[in-house]
Amino acid sequence: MAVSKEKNSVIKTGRFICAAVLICGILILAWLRRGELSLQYLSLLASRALVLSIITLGAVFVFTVGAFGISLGASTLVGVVCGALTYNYTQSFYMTLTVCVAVPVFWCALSSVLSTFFELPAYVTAVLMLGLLGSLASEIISVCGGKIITQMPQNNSFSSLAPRFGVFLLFFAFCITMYEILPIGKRQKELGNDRHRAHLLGISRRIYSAVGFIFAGIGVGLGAFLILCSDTSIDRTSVSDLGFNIIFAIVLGGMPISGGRVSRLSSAVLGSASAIVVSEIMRQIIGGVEYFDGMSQALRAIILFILLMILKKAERRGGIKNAE
Amino acid sequence: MRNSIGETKRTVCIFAGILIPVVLYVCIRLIFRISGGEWLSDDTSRTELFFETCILFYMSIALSLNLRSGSFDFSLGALAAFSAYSAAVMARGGAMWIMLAIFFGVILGIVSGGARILSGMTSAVSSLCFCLIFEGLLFVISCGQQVNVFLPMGKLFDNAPLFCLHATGALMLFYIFLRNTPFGYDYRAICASRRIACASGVDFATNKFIVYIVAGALMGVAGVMLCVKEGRSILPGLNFSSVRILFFALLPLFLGRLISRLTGELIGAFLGALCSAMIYSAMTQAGLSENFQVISVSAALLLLLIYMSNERKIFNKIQIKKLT
Repeated sequence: MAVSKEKNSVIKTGRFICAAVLICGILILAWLRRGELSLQYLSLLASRALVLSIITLGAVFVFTVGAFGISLGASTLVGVVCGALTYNYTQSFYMTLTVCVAVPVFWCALSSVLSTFFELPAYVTAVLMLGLLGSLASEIISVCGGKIITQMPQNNSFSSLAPRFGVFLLFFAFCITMYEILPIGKRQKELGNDRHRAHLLGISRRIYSAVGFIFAGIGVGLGAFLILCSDTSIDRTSVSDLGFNIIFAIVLGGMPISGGRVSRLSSAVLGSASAIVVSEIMRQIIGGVEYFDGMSQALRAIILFILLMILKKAERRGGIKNAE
Repeated sequence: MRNSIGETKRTVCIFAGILIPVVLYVCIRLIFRISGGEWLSDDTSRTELFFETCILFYMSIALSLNLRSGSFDFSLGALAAFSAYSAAVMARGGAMWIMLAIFFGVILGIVSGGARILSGMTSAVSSLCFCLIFEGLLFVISCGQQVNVFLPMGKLFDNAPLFCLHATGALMLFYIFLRNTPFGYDYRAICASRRIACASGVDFATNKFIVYIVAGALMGVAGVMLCVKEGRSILPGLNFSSVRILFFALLPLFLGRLISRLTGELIGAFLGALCSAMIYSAMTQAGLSENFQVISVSAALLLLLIYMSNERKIFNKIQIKKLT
C-alpha cells in the first residue's frame, strides 16, 4: 500500500512538473519571439526536439534499470564521426545508417557487459567510458584534420521535418511495444527499484540491463544518423551538450534519474520538447553575451537540481523513506 | 614467536610493495634504452615526475575518501579548477594562492555536501548537478577563455622537489590524524558497513559532510598544483569535460589499492601515485597525444578493474578444481 502511495506521489509531482514546464516554456518563448515566430523557426525547434527525444527514448531504458548513462552523449559523437567517414567512403545512405547504429550499440553493449557481467563499479565505468569515447572521437577527428566535412547533399531525404517525424514515430512505437506491451519495461522497473527483490522474482539483471543498453544504443544510433543528415561539418564540439541534455530532458519530463517504478516513456518525449524550449528561452534572454554557454549550463543545472529535489521530497511524502 | 614471524612477513611484504615501482622504473628504462629514446634524463623531467606524483597522490586520496564510503563525487574535478581559478584572482603570491584555494575548496565542499545531505539525494546524482554548476560558473567568471596565472610564486614553487616533499609530508600527517580521531573511526566504520555503523550510533550525515569538506580542501591544493603543471594556465570546459581530471586519478587510485594489500593503505596510495606518474610521463616522453594516452590508460584500467572485481571468483574456481 505504502509503495503505491509513494509511486503515485512521485508520478503526480512528475506530471505536474512536466506540464508546468512545457506550457510555461512555450508561452514564454512565444511572448519573447512575438511578431517573429516564423514557421521555419518552429520547424527548426521541432526537428531538434525530435532528434533529442529519439535519443532520450533509448536512454530511458538505461535509466530505468538504475544504471548511469552519462556516456551516451560521447557515444553519439563516436557514432556521428564513424557515420560521416562511412558516407564519405561509400556514398550510401543504408551503409551509413548501419554504421551509425552499430557503433553506439557496440559501445553500449560493452558498457553493459562491463557493469553487469564483470561487475565493475557503476560510476567508475561511467567515468571510464566518458573519457574513452570522448578521446576516441576527438582522436579520429584530429587524425582527419580537426574537422570532418561530409559529402552528403544539403537537401537529402532526411533533412526535412516529415521523414524525421516518421523515424521518431517508428522508434516510439518500437519503444512502446517493448516498454509497455511486452514485460521488458515492467521487469526493468522492478530491477531499478530493488535489485534484491528483482533477483528473488527471477528477473535476470544481466539480460535486462543488456537489453536496456542495446535499445539505448539503437536510439543513439538513429539520433546520430539524423544529426549527420543535417550537419555537414563535424568537429569536436558538434554534440557536446547532448550528454547533459539527455539527463535534463528526462528530469524535465518528470522522471527521477535513479529510475525504478516511476519511470515513464512519455517523460522522454515531453521532456525533450521542454528541454529544447528552455534552452531556447535562455538563448533569447542572454544569448548575446560571450559566456552564454557557461551561464546556460549553470542555470539549467540549478533547475535540474531543484527538480530532482522536488521529486525526492515527493517520494518521501508518499511514505517509505528509502535508505540509499 | 608467532608475532615475530608476522613481523618478518610484514616487512617482506612492504619491501615487495616498494619493489613494484622500482621494477616498473627498470622496465620503462629498458624499453626506452632499446628503442633509443631518453626518459628522465634531465632535471626538468625528474621535477615534473615529482610534481605529477604529488598531484596524483592528492587527487586519488580525495577521490578514495568518497569512493570508499560507497559514493562517487563527479564534481571534484570542476571543484579543483574552480577553486584554483578563484584563488588565483584574489591571491598575491604562491603561498596565499594555495591557502585561498584550500579556503575556496572547503567552501565549495560545504556547498555541495550540504546540498546533498539536505536534499537527501544519492551523492552521484547531486554531485553530477554540482559538477555542471561549477563548470558553468567557472566558464562565466573566466568568459570561456584560457586563463594564465601571473603570480610571483616565491620560494615555494622554485624548488619543486622540496615543495613536493612538504606537500606529501603534510598529506601523510593528515592521514595519520584521520586514522586516530573520532571522525576517522566513524569514517572507517561507515566504509566497512554503513548499516551497522548507523545502527551503532555513528552520525552518517555529519561524517559525510566532513568528508565533502576534506575532499574539497584536498582538491583545492590539487587544482593549484595542476594549474602550475599545465604551465600556470586553466582552460575552462563545459559538459562534463572536468571529469577528465578525475579520469587521470583513477589509475593511481586502483593501482594504489592493489599495492596497499602488501604495504598498507598510506604507502600503497603513494606508491600507486608514483607508478602512475611514471607511466604517464613515459607516455608523454614517447610522444603519444593526450587522446591516445586516455585511450590506452582506460584500456589498461579496464583490464585492471576486471581483474580486481573478479579475483575472488577466479581463485574460488581454482580452489574448487584443486579440491576435486
